[in-house]
Amino acid sequence: MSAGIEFGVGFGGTLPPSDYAELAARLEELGFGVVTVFGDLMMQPPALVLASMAGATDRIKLGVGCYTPWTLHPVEIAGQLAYLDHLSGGRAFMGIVRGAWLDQLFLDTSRSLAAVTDTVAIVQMLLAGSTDGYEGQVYSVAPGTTPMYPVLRPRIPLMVGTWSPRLAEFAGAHADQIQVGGCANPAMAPVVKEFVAVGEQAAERTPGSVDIVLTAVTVVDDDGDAARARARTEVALPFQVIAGFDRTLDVDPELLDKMAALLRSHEYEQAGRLIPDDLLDKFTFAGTPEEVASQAAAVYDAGVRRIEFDSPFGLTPARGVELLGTRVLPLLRGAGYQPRIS
Amino acid sequence: MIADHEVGIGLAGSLHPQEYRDIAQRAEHAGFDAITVFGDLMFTPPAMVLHTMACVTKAVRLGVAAYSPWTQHPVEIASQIGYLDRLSHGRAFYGLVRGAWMERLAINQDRPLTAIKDTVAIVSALLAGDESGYRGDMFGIQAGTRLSFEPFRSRVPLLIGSWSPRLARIAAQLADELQAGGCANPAMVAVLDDMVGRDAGTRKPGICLNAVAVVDQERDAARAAARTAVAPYFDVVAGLDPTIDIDPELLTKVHELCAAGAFEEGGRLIPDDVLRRFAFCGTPADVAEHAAAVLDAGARRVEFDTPFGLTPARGIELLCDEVLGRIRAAM
Repeated sequence: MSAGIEFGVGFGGTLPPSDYAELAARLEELGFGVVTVFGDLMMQPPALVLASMAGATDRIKLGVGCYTPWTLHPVEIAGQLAYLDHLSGGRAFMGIVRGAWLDQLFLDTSRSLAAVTDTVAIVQMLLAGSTDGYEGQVYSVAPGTTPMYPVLRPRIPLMVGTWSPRLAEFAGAHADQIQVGGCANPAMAPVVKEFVAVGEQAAERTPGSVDIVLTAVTVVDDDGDAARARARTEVALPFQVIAGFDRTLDVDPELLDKMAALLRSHEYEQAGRLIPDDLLDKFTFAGTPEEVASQAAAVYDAGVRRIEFDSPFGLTPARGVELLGTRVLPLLRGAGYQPRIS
Repeated sequence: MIADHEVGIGLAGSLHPQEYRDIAQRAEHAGFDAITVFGDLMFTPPAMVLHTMACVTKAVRLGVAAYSPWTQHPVEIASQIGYLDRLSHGRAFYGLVRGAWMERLAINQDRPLTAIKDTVAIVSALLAGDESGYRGDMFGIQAGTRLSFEPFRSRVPLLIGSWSPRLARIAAQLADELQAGGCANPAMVAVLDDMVGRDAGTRKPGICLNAVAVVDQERDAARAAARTAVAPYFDVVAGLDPTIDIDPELLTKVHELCAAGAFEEGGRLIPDDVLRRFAFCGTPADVAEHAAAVLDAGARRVEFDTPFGLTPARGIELLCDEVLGRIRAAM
């Protein structure tokens, strides 16, 4: 597939709020079609970061990527999204994941699939204006409970972030997109497609209804080795967890053990150095603009609708965003990878 | 900085973003000190609305009034209020209340005091950069948990909304303000002050009264509209005010009519002198005099809540142009 793709970026909110408007305007100018802001524990609330970006942009889609169903009740999520959708003139979308690191809050997340299911159902019901109510295993809303705020679109697009077959099946039945977080491996696309197809079929949806989104740490620089070195350090922590999720790879458990030991003592750089080049490519977009463009092309060729290039983007974030926008995207466009017009 | 006394407006999130920009700019220009946005169930989350307001104002304080600890974890509250405080350069404050209508979400609210205490402890620790962790009965964070961004202030002012002596005692220890929602009765200021008085340390919380406001040149029309607006919760708040003696039969009648959706009819039963305890209503001069009486009684902040007037826009206009100046002059 070469046309109808999307260029995206993703990052976690840590900047001063006053920086986001300019960043968002620049991303839009550079030709990115989507920005997602992570909802990882303790980061800035993605809906507020996106609210800061909405006013400075006209076209770029704004995604919460992602909510977890554990720290915000679905009624809060619905209210945030409805407002963001108004602010942006209908450019908001909602991502949801099971959530990570929630043991830090002593939360029992053992019923995460039920929590995700309830959250999606309640948000969709409220925005659609249904008065039916919903009784779930984790969250419920009494009949007759409806928003007191204006709703622009009765359905806001849904993205499910997961590597798991069960949640991918759920995405197949309910979502518009499935996001595989921390993955730059083209070989994962058909695997995820197969998981999703089960849900699509069960819900009697057209095969391929759900777009596949891969998102991974990105470091672009004219010095490819420097970019890869930085990417290794950045990805060390997530890699140690995610490497085991990728069914297409056989990662040496000894390597993961060694990395875990180093990570426990916060030696990210050293842990990262243990990741071999060929594996690094499966979990990051890193290297020169030409190398990253070629990596991305392979991912799009595998049937992925959108790549989200995630922070830190480059050796400095600003330089990385510029290189992505002025070098990587033009290379891709020149090779026929054209964004879809929304 | 909080002035000796403040005059504010309060509203629920039910409007379009552009309307909030207009209201915030108008209120700031007129000289209002604070704007609060309620966090009632099924209204727009207040932090979103205040984000819009923060972007178009420079001086007015902006309060979430209030969070209930049941629909968002304290870490969400901390990151929202930390973001707003940074965005507004230190003009944010946040409130906590027990929260109403949670039965609609099948949420068990058995331990509101515990939930509020845990929430304050976690929000305070995260804003202060205290990484020692907290283990409460309802909420906790492990040691080492910290915000991934630098808050503007290490402490954001806290408002506790309650008429209850137990929660007031907690406010005495933790809060900057104690607010009795739905109260316009100057006599309640001393009652609330007494509730916190015994336990308050050197930093005694200020008292805030906020209630429905309807201002119009037509006094009777304003009162009629205020009656209708107050009716739905009249039976609840009237029972909380120990300074007045209201016929229980009246409360039951108003409650029954409102339960059947007859708010106007229910409101009509509320006598004038009782209405004044629960609403700011009448001509601009009436309302200004009433608010000044609340401040005179020792309140730190008086807040006019929606619907403001016979139409919200006209009400805001009168509050800005005709009421605020009169209060300032009286004080």
